[in-house]
Amino acid sequence: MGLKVDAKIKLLVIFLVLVGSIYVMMTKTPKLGLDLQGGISITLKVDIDKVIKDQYLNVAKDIEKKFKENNIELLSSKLENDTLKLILLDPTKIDKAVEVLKKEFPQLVVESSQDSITVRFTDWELNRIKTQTMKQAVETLRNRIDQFGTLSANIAQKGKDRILVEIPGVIDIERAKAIIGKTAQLELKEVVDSAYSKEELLKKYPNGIPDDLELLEGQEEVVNGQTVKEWFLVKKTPVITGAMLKDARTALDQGGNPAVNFELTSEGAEIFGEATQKMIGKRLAIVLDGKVMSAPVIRSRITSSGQITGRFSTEEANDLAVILRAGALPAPVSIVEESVIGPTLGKESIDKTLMAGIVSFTLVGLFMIYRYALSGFVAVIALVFNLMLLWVAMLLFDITLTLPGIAGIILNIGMGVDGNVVIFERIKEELHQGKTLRVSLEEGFKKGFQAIFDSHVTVIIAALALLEFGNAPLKGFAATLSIGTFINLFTAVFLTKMMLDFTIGGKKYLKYAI
Amino acid sequence: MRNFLVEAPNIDFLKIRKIGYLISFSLLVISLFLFFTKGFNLGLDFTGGTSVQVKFNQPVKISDIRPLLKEVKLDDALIQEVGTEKKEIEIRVSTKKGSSSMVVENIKKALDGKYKGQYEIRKIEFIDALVGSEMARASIYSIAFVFLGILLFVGYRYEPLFAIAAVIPLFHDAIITLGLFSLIGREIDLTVVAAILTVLGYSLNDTIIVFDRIRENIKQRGKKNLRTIINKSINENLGRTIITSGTSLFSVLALYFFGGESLNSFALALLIGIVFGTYSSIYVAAPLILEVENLLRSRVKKEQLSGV
Repeated sequence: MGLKVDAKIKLLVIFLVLVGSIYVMMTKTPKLGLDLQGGISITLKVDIDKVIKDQYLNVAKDIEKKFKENNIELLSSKLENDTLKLILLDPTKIDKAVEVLKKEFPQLVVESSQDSITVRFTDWELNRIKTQTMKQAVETLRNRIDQFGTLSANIAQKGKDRILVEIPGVIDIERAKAIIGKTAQLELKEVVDSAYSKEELLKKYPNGIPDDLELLEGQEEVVNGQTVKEWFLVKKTPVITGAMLKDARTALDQGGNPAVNFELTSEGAEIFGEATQKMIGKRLAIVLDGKVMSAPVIRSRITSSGQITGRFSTEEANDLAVILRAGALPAPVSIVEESVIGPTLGKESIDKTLMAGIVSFTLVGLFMIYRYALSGFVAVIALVFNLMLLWVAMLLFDITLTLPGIAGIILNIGMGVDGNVVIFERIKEELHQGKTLRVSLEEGFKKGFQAIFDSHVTVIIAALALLEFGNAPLKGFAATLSIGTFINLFTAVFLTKMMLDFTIGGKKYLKYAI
Repeated sequence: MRNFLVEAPNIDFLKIRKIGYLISFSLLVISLFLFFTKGFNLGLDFTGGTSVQVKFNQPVKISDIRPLLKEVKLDDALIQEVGTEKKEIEIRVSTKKGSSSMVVENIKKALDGKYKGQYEIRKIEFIDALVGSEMARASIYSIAFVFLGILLFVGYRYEPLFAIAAVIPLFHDAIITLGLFSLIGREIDLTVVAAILTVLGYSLNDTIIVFDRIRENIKQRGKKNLRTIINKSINENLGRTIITSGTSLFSVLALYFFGGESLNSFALALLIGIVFGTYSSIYVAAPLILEVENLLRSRVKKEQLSGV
């Protein structure tokens, strides 16, 4: 036989690739997309604008404090589309105020005119707030879902203000949405006034509600057989927020209904104690996500604990406790995309695409062998290699297999032999011109390669565009398409050439060669 | 068949190119006309809304379902059959009808009256209208990106002349594919856009193989008779063009007939795209090189004349 050294090395490489591939295929399992295994996928949009607004309000408070220290009196501060407008009682102090602002608030850009000062966050600061908010939101969601234990979820930031939550398997979607979508911002606020109808409450304030108060609605309750809802006028600035929460657990309220007991951190307990001391006889609204859950009257100084009552079921109370424990989301979120796929549909999708794959492979394979005889057979082996390597690449890079992804693999069967067809047709052409098989083979591969290379690049350009946009399933398609096309360059040219060099040696096979 | 088209035929493609142009031009005009009059049946991905896919134990008719939905005030819901078994339907409701939970609740309530325990909800999808319009924009950007990428790549590897001739047929393929989707009222969703992007890459693949041969033949013979060279190159590649389109069609047809409902529109877009992509690389792309060249040459001549 006496193979050349060069050929031996090539053979060794192929052998190693084969062994490696089999090892990978046996040890790793593919990650199935939700469209194949069933499950729920939710995309949340985080209301970052709200966070920025809140930050402006906070900074306004700090500014007022610093001004006071410097004997500057602030008449008003107002949020005007993304800037904070400050008006001083004494306009002659503007220069001094600007000086204070520049010294104390490096995160602000300060601009002044004759009668007012406008400040806004620097781009760096805005960016920091956004990144921080998103990071915190992802962390909080992970925390919440982890506490439920049973769910294995994938939580990831997507774009600038989106978070993708994917939970495989069958679960109660409504409950999942309640867990994920609740901001769970707990605030305890001082009640100034309340009434059983909005109009009645507003009537008392013909000039509008004062700036430091806000109107909140309570929960519906049944009193003497009638459904009523109380409305509250509360102070905007909360006494305590959920950030000072140490723990939350389910308990029973006085009437024996499910409720949630919470405990504050030591810092929170101190503030709370001081505040409740002053508020004895007044009502304290327990506000969850902007809605008053209950508003008990403070009878005595309270320090570290409180109770949230509402018309909860045991499960709801449980979930609320978990959410409170995990912490509030730094900003309100809304669901902008949601998909739930039943497991039977997923299974059916796999079965059907597998069928399509087998049909595609059989048709293409038979045709190749018919048209190119032995060479066609070699191309089919190369195709098998191609599919195997594609599969191995998916496993190695942990690429999630999706339904369009499988479609990409099937497409790869038909488009993948393209390289071989270009070369083989070229060989046939050269043979037709009367050249020997050996020469035709060399020429065919040499002349065909350029065209194959160029044409593959264009498919990869299209696949890259797909990777940039589109939802998760489509990214799966882009992945299989681009990797498959790439591997093609190797299998259709290098591998096929090598196998043909081995097989088309003897003259007796000549007429079956191609 | 074993050696079909190995010997290059001698068809004068350039002579009949005007017929090709005429066919292409008419198809383009019809497609554009359809865009503006009939429009597209845009899928949930672009419009936003809630879609619920329900599978029943026995075949059902859409006319049986509609009155049930009316009772829960979902009169304007879009009901479509899914698959060929007549057992599965998709109900689509716009976002104005409330959150997905409310919609699903209402649909369940409506179906329980008549079919309690005899159906299974297989898929729920909700897309915010805002996200839908974002996706539409992203689709357009990515198609533009592919055009630009291809223009630059072909311009770099070949000649600007070739790049122009390569990109025009791509518009042709994309527009005609969309035109056919408009004509048959098939829903256009993200997978269809993905198919169109794939077709752009694929159609160019065909074109490039022909261009490569033209380049090779020019090198051998010089630019003396571009017309003959182009004709010869198309003819020499005819067998290969037909065969690779054929094998690709095998795969796409397998997807179309066996791949299941979710991939059906995707496969259809590929099917149309591949057929027109093959056609356009023979009848549009290669002849265009000649046209662009002629155009340039006549301009050079004019400049020379005016310079005298």
